[in-house]
Amino acid sequence: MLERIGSIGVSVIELALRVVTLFNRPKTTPEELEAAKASAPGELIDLNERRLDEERRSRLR
Amino acid sequence: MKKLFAALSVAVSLVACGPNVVRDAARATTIAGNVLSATREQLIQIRRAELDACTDTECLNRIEENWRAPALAFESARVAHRLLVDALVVASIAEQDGISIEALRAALDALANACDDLIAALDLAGVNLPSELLQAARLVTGVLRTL
Repeated sequence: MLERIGSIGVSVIELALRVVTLFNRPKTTPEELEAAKASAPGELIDLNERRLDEERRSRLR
Repeated sequence: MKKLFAALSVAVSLVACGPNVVRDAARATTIAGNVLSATREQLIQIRRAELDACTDTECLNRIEENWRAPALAFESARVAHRLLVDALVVASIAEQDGISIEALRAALDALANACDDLIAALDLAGVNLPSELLQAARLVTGVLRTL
């Protein structure tokens, strides 16, 4: 009898955990995702740096 | 029965206050991106100063060659960051789904590895980042690996 009550108890806890996991866990907000996207760095040697490199090279030629 | 309800309420409150890997990863990705952007600004200034000090094209060739590996390492970190953002978007749609969380963790590790490679490439090329930035980068790689 005690075993059955125990196993029912465990099932109830599992079910409750699943429900809480689904509905109560703080979701990732669109703003947090946008902030992650916006933090993307640019190229190290981008078009501007390449243009400056070329200008420097032509000055020294 | 009282004990069962007590255990249930403790378990429920633990899960309700528990972490959300996707949310934590989103925040860590933003911080990593900001540290990479700050590193980029510093590296551009250092590279420009080195090249501006040249008085002949041989010097330009040597310095440009020296910056090739760090530039490639930075590009790898940039791509890893972009892939991490993609993994985040998928994981946020499939909130707490096991497979997307595993993919997210792999992407977090990949960015941490790429940041380590960048630090190593800069060291090999003899480029010295400001110590605060270097510490921030190491802290970020640590955080990315613990999520």
